[in-house]
Amino acid sequence: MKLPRLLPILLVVALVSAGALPLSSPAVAQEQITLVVWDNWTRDAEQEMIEILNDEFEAAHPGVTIKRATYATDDLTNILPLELSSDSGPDVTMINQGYSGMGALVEAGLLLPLNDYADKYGWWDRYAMGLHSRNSFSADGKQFGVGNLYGVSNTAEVVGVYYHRSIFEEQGLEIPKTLAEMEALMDKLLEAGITPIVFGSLDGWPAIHEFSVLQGVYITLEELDAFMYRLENGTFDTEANLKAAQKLVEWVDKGYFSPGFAGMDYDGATFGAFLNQEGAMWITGNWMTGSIIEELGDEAVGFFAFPSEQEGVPAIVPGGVGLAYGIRAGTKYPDLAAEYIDLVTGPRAAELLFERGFFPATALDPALLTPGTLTADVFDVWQAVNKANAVGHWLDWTAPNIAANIQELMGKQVTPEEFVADVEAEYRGG
Amino acid sequence: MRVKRRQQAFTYGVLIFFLLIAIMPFVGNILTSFKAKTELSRGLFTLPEQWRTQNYVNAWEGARFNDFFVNSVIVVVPVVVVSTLCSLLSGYAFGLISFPGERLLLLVIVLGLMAPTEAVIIPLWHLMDRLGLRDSYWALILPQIGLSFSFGTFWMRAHFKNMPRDLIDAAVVDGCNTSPFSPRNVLWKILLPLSGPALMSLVVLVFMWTWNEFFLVLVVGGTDYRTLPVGLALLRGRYSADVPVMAAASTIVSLPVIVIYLLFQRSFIRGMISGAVKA
Amino acid sequence: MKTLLRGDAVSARRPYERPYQAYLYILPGFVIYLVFVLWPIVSTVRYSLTEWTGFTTPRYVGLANYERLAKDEFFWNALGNNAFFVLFYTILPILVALLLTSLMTRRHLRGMTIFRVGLFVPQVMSAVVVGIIWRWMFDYRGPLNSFLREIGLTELARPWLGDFTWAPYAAGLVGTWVEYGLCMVLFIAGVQSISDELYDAARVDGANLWHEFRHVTLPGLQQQLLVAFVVTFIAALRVFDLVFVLTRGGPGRETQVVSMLIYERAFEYHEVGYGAAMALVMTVLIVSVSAITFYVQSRREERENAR
Repeated sequence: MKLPRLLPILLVVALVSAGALPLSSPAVAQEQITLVVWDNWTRDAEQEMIEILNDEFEAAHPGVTIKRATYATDDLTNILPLELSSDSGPDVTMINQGYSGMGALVEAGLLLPLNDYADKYGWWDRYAMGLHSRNSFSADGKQFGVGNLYGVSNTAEVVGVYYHRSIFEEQGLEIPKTLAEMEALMDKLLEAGITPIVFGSLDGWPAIHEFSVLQGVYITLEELDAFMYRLENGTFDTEANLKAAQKLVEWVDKGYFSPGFAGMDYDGATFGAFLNQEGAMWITGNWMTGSIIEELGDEAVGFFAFPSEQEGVPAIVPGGVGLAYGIRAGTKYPDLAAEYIDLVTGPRAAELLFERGFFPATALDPALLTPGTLTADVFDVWQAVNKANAVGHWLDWTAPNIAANIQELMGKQVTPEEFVADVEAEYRGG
Repeated sequence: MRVKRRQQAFTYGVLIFFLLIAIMPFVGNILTSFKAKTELSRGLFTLPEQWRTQNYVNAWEGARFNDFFVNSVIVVVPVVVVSTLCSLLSGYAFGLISFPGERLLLLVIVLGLMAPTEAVIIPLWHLMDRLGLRDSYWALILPQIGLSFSFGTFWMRAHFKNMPRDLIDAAVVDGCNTSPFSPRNVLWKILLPLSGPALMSLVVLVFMWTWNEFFLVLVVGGTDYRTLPVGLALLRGRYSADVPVMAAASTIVSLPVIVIYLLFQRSFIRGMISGAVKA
Repeated sequence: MKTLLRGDAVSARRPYERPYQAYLYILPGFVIYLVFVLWPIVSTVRYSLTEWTGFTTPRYVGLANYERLAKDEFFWNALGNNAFFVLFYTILPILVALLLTSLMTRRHLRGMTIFRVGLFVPQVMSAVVVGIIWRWMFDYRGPLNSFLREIGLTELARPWLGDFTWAPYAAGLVGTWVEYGLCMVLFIAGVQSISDELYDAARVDGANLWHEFRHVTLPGLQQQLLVAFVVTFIAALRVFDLVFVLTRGGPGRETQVVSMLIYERAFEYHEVGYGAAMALVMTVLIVSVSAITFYVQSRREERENAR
């Protein structure tokens, strides 16, 4: 055997076979412009939407090629800072908001302020100013919610209550207009042996929404903003948060949530339990609308806004805008990038999104909606809370570990008082 | 005779018990991969109402396996070949040669297994950036050769330590030597034929680890060199995932590893027979 | 028997004649390892003395990260959880794998391929799937609880992975389920290189399964046991995916492990320096335990060779 002499050859072959492969993507012709775009559109319907828009953009700009890459949200958030700091990073990218997302990028000077482009293209009128503040940071990245605009979103997100119309009809229930009515309704469901709210807290984050809707009953938007944007008077240690925590524990004790909710995950157990009518309601976001319609059609399920203590006064509900499109500070083509953002967050994109069961952040022609459908319900809720300026926040943008605290609260490991103190302590510490 | 039969029954009993625990979840995963979402909460081991092969089509397309499969193969082959060869050599040195600094060097090499990827990955990104290797197959291949070399050295060392040393003595008397450059080297002439099972198990493990590597590929791989596990991650939406499609995609990703293991475990047994004859 | 297996100290000197050759054998792999693995690790040590986002200029802060670490209750909680997982990721898998290996390797059984492949399957499955499946197995309405209710232990039924007392055990057992396959592959390969003559001799002496295991298999697997112990011990302290897909570190912080905190610091809080300090403390722990293991093992070898 000639193995020893073969060995270096084998090594070389292995290395060369790897090296013979192209080290970088095929070069483009000199006069061509390649706009690198990263996004979060992972699902089929979303891919279809963005590919149509990209084709249209390329058709309108001869010589421009869009090189698109997709990431799941967490993955995108993980690698964006590194990639934006290099010359080969994306020209346009979707960005997750909050201090650790957009804030850190702004602080490092990696994003381009979009104010001038917003003036030029009229982005300010796309949706409420309160929503633009979610894509805004002071130029040093320290102050959330004020200063420059660094992103534009094209989808809206809102948490509300999905309910099975058939269960409500059988039990003779009406959509509750106050928190008291909501509780009475749930007692009735319990008597009939039906779990009122399908819920699972195994993944952590869904518990945030359960707490948030109750928080929204008691808190004012000023208080919540102060906490979220870390204003001087920002604190978690408030009467409203304590009341919300006490109410949440009360609901756990009364058995309003799925039995064994601590062990149920979101995608499988909770979603499945709702589809199979193992409970009457599900408090979660409008992002599930498409999936519910896909399984049960547009008419079996309805959606209403979580009620407040007073009829006619909407409670603050967690919501906002989806991931925002922004521009890398070092890009060679800022104007082209802005033009691209104008297209993918504009009316044409809204139309394509809506056709595919997503909720555009921009205003929409009401004639597109069929009353009595889930789609129409969700849209109504979004319009109502948006108009009433009752769109709350995702608490984990500012309190990244709050899900663990809420699990402890719901698992009776801490009292409501301790819960509030724990979150406050972390808020001060971080 | 009765004792023997009782032993046989005991053996089968224990093995079947563990086999059930081992494969039941896998069976559950395969059943899930054919179901509709509405069927999920009914139970893991219920048969699908309708065998939805569409889930596999969706998985294949949604995770863009067409693009990423090739990348996976391009990465995994050089990693397995080079790291196995390098580990064979260094394992031999650590296992059978006594040299100054042996223990310290071994610890330094095994250190590669110990440091958490989450912490090392950002310095690695900057290193790759400086070397101009980022966004290339090299960025995926070279670090994974290094990591596999850590385990491989450690493992082959263990194997060679167990080798009967009078075998080597006899070989040296017969005219073999220990020079790395000589064709009459003990390693190639005597030890390699006896190292089948150890090498095969190394190949299987390195293949599996490289095939499944996610985080490294995500961070240093850029957008053009993604492998299957990164494709799998694309199936996760912002707030939810399609569980049956995920199950289908995972079945697709794990199949090559099972096939490789199947192929190589057959040579485990062959290795045992030939080893028994020679020893 | 011993001489057949290991040779004695004198004859074993043969390959030692030219020790410098060892470096030549190690060199090719070591060069790649040095640049692409060791160098980033050394950088991590450097960065642990800085405040660094990972994408801006690091600022030297001395030992500040370590002082902060000493007072970080979440870190110590997580490290405690890792220590707890050693039982499930290291000790139990080794025991299970030893049992299965000894049952499978020495007998000609029908259906051996099915056992060998089937028993390896858990090691192959991707973490995501392991998460989906076991979450369901442990669900309040899942198979485990149904079984408990069936046999009349209704009060024991609970959402295991969400239970503040039981979640660490449940998550740990899944670790055992995954890790034993790795140990098994190592042990099977190890048994192949034990000489058949030893087994034949044992059988002539009328040894039963246990004696054969105790006096032939176990002594023959010393080296493989060392590898399995070190590798699974590292797995226990470095675990991330497997726990994350089951519990996300919850409920509360009951199953939070150090790697999750490192990840959180490096990628969510952009405190790479602090994350590096955590990583370093953990690495030092692993290295110490491994070094002790190496030492004990080589002392034992010396004793045996001297015999």
